[in-house]
Amino acid sequence: MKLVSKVRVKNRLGLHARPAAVIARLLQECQSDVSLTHQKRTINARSIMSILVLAAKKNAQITITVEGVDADETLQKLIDLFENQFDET
Amino acid sequence: MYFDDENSTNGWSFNEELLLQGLPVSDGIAIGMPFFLFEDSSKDVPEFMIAAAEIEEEIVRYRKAIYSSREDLELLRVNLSNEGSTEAAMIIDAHIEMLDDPVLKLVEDEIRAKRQNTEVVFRAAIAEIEKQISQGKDTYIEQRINDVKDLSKRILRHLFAKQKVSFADIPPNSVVIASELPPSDAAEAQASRVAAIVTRQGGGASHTGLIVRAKGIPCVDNIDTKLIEAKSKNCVIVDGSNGKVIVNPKMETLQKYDGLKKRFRKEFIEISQKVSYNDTTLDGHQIKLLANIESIHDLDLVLNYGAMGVGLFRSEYLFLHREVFSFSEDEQFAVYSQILRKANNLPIVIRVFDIGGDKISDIFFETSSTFPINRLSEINPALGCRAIRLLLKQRNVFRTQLRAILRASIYGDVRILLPLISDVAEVLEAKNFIDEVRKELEYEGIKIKEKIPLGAMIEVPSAVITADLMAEECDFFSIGTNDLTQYALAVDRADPRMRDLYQPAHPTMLRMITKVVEEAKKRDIPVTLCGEMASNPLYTELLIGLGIKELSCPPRFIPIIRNILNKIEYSSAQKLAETTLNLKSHRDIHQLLTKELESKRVI
Repeated sequence: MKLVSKVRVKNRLGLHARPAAVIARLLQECQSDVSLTHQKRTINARSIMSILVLAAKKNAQITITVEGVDADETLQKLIDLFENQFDET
Repeated sequence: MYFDDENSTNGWSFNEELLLQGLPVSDGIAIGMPFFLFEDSSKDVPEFMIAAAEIEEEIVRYRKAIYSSREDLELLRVNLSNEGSTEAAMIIDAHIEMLDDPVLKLVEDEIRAKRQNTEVVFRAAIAEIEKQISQGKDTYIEQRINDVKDLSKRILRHLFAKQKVSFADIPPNSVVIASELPPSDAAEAQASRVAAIVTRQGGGASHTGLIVRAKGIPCVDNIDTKLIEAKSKNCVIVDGSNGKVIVNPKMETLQKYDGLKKRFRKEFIEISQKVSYNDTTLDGHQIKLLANIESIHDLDLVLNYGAMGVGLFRSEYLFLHREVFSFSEDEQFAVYSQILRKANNLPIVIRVFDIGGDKISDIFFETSSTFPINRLSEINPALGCRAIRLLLKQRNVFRTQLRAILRASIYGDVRILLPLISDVAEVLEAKNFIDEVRKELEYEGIKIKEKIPLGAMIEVPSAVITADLMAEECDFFSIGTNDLTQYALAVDRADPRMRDLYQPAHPTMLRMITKVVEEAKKRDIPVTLCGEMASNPLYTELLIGLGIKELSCPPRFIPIIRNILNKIEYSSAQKLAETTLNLKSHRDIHQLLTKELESKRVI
């Protein structure tokens, strides 16, 4: 199953190292392939450094693509992370 | 920028004192021997080909370096958690996670494919990532790159297996001089060994700044560190509060700073152990010391230090800190009533949500379907739809907060403060709306305190100029010097290049404060000053002299400001204010105030 969803970066500092690590940590428990797309760049969401490459700042639009057996819940968890601003301000 | 000592006539005079002006990152004064922590000569990376048979061995070498880096970082994280630096620990956590990055795994494939030594392949991979990151247009890019650089340096250090200069090996009382300081290195610094840190390009807003401030290590950034290396013959003075670094200080300079440092420490111990509080000047002029708070947790300190109340409760911080995830009326009511009860009838000034501008909370934009704002469309957010402007447009948000405040009002002495007032009409509109909400609640049979004072933040020049009109409609004023400085002098305080222009003691500001005080006096309403000026001892005597009777500052500054109060006379403060008002430039004003403060500190 392949799912695609758009989210917005809401935390003030954007996708810096800490949120990137939070995403990567979450995905360690998930089996699906996950990629993030921002401004025509698509990267593997399991790679913190690649997430940093996106240079996504606050309010950036990110397209999440999830493909695999647990796509549904993986996507939901990711959306929650963005929504809760990775627990930062 | 630096100034050579005027007495020096030739290039190498031994005791040539050198004053370097940089950006203050972390407060405090330190005197110590310089310890130069420059980059490993990472340019001289060895470059060689690997024989096919030795490839796997090379990969093991790479994995070992990663493994050792992980050990380092985990130890560091434990230390940080023990010190209570949770934020710093979280940054280190991110670095640890990065060691599992697929990009680092790819390096192994590259080593196999290219048959080059790890250092070369690894550095190329990191350089590529740095290049890609820097193509983005993000203000925080430096910080992102620093995290990657920091980690890669750590791994490279293990590859080289060179003797690593660790912060733990630094001799006690060193002033660490570095071109830049990665956050994980800053995290390793111990205040007992590292007296201060001076960097060429660290950036006060970076993780590094955050860590050193948390550790209480004085730090100055934007300093030509090479100059220190070239000139320094003996000790270095770091004045973190003013962003000054003094190389080869003369005896008298040394004595001056040594005195300041000792007194500062002694005072702090004395001050914080004081049991009885007396907020008067030597000649008995009474001043009210109030506190700025951001959450109920700050209230303990406020009560401990014997503040006369809360002059500024920044209510929006409740949500920015996400102590509460939503902002329903009941949740807000719970917070406000708790604070009021805990304060035990001390006045609590709640500043209604000051959101928008640099303090953004998307929560507000999402809950309103009727008023969508595209934040990106705001070219100049400081002048945009924020604070009272936003609240008057988003009445549902304002109503919810007002209902919660009014309901809580019976538990203590609550006062409402309106942020960013630029027109009397806004005060009137807010006043009418408060009355409307009051009637609504009374209709529902809810008890509300009869009189709830309403005040205006004076932080926009138009509010100063119309202070006479404002005073007719307000029960009190609160001067917000931070924004007022920014708006009056047209200087963005977040822009480091404009630091010189951002001067709270500018002649303009002093005239504005005087005007507000005078107009308030005519209508007999109190004026509180709650910007950063209130917490800087440099300005205390001047502000008192200008007629300010209430100062509101973060709790930890209360003992410091009180101590100054107890050493000054109102009559001389008035004279100082008079003299200062006649000075033409903020430089002269600054000089005079510094001199005054130093004379007060002589015991």
